[in-house]
Amino acid sequence: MSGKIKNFKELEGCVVIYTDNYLNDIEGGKLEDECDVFLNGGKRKIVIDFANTDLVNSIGISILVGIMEKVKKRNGILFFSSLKKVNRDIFNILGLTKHISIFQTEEEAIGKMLAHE
Amino acid sequence: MDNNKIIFNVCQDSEFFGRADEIERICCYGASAAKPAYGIYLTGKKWLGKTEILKRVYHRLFWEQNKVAPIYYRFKDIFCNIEDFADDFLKDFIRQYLAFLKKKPAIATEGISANKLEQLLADMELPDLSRFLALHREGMKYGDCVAIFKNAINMPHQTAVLCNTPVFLILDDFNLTANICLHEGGPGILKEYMKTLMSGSVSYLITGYTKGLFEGELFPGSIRVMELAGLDEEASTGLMARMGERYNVACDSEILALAARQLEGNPVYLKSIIEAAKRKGRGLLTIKDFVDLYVEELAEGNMGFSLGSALSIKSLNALRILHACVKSKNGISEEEMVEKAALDGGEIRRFISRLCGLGLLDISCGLIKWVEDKVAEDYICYLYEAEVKRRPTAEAKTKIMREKLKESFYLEGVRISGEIKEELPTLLKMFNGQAVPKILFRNQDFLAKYSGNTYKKEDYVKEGEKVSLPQIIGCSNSMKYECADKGLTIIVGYGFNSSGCYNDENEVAWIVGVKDAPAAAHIGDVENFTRQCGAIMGDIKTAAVTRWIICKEGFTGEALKRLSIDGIYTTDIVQLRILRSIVEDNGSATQRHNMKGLASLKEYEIILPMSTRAELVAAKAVEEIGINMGFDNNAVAQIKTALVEACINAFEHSQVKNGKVYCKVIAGDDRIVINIKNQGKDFDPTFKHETSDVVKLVEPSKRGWGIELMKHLMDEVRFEKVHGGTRLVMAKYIKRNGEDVYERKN
Repeated sequence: MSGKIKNFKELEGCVVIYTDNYLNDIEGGKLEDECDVFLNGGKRKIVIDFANTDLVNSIGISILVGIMEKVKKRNGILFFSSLKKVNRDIFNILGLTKHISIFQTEEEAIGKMLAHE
Repeated sequence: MDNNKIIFNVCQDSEFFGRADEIERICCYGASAAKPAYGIYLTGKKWLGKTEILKRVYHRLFWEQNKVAPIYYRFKDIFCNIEDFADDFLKDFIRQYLAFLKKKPAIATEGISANKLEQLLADMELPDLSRFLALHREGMKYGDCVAIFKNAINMPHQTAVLCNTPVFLILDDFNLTANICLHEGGPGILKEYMKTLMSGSVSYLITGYTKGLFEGELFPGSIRVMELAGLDEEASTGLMARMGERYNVACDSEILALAARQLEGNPVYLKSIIEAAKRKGRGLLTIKDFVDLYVEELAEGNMGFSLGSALSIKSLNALRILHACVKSKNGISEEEMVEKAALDGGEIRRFISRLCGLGLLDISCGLIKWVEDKVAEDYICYLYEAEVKRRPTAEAKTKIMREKLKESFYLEGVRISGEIKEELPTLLKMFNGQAVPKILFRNQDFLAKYSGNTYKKEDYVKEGEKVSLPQIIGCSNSMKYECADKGLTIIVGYGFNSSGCYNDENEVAWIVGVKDAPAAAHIGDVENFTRQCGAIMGDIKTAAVTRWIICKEGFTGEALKRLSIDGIYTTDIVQLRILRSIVEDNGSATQRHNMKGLASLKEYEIILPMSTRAELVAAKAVEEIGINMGFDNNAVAQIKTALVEACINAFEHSQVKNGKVYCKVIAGDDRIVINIKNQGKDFDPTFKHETSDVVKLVEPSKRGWGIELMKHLMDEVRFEKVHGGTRLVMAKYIKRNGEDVYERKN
């Protein structure tokens, strides 16, 4: 099921997905597919880590919004981590930060996620 | 050159710029198998590249589709009888039609004889086309001009019906049909031809010089006019720079931009100047370089030769008429013309009719107007000096050169120092809401306070009463208001109060009388100025008018008294210097900032294909440029993100298949400016998106946040309407420690 997915880490109870350097329509589409695979496989706790991502374009953001909605519909939890300042700023400009928790590091996000009931 | 050879002979891609939009639109129209309800009339001044566009359209339709056969025919000015035209048209048509069906250009270009054509038609089992040749021969035999004409012009429609391959007819220089007559002395075939085109089943495009070609002949909506303008400045300078590089002609980009404006983006003129520079081994590095080459080209070069044959001025009287029209910017009546040219009415009418036919003049509301371009205007002026005034060539050239140097100087935006009247428009345009001491507009008070003392610039801060300057947006120094004989030049500055509201209530005008003569302004000057102001105020109808006299040598006591009573501002040369200094230092931070920024510019150009992740190439380049300029990492990331959005927008809005996106990055001392332009329809700069609530973001249209993002990430984002689309311009300033950020949002 998750054989096609390369950039992820599966932990007890949660999964961390690592995004590419440039989050555009194509990479965003792949990320959405990955999330679908995990959600369909019963995972409900997802961390998306942006440590490798320098650039996010507006199409990529619209896809992230779609993912946020899907996770919410499945009663899951989604956290973002390791955002570069510029990306955090644009998430803020477009109002995403009001609807999702963002953590400085992947570890911080995982810790919070695992503590979450 | 033979019609059918012309069409397969396109110029090099490196010398063809800026017409992708027009070509795309015509191709879309021409490739439609069903005849649209309208034809296209492509119009524009001479040598703007109409034929080159048609050739490229033809090429695309010939090679890239099989549905519609493109047929190109260029009318020639040598035809005056119907037989010659019909014979030529018929054969060219059949050759091109067969060439298209077989996809063999040689059938069109090799001048196959009528007999061989008939053989070919038989081989290709197209006997219906042979019938047109037979009917033509029969008409010729009996001298039946009407039958010959009808057979020729109905052939495209009949062919489309009989042969199942529709036709897109491209008729170049269609205006020349006015010279082809069915009977000697009769009217031209233009009207009849148009009727056939409109009623037939063939889609068509015709070209011509004048917009008024069909006056009174068309149904509304039956023709869509596509007016071709010169290349925009960017495309013009691009063309010249590319040619300059190829020919090793050293060029300065500012001078190329100046040449582009002077030559109105006409590709033929632009190329001629570069070719002349190459021939003469010169560069284009100064205004004088350009003007030298330009005038030589006009007088003795290829431009002059081509203009001479195109304008076809056959008599001094025709030259006098053209010159009178060139000099009269608003047109000239026939009565005035009779007076100026010393000819009788009948003779004038004959000349004017011929010159209108050549597309040089146009008659509208009884006024005869010059309608050709500025270069042709200069050529007429040169010819007038040489032929009518009988000046030696060198003298005539010098005269034109003097005028062009002055004009070029103005066009380049270089300020001519010296007389106040020449400097004042520049100063007025720097007025932008600054508050300046009122004493600078009260000569009497200024003299009382500072006579014998030194007025330091800092003193103005202490001055109590201030005048809030308006924002002046334009000036005129029309001859109409000139009263030079009385020693005053009138300049009117138009603008708005500095409140920021551009409405009727805030509209203002400053009427300024300038006396540069070495004498104080006296009561006569004041009376004259007051009278002129009355006339101007009647004309401009602006509620708030400020009157101001500037005199180098000051004012007489009597004049000052009167001016004070009338509430007219008074300024001498000392006050003016102080005012200028304050306006420059205090009010025009923007301009100073701009000038600083422009001090050492580096320009980078990136052309992106419309392919996946192409925007990253531009982002990578801008990252390097930004780091070198001293932007911090976050600012570089912001610029990259904004650029990526701009590129995606440009890709999305491009209407051209396989089009390109042009990025220009300008690195100044204190800012980076990025221009993005595509080949296509406009961006929608008015788009506004709520960004405060994510719920709204997930509504059906998830796209469109790009502009909002760009505005947040960059310091300036604006859209400029340019020829063939919209250009997005973004700027970001370097924030250095201890330096205030330039107040952009003023």
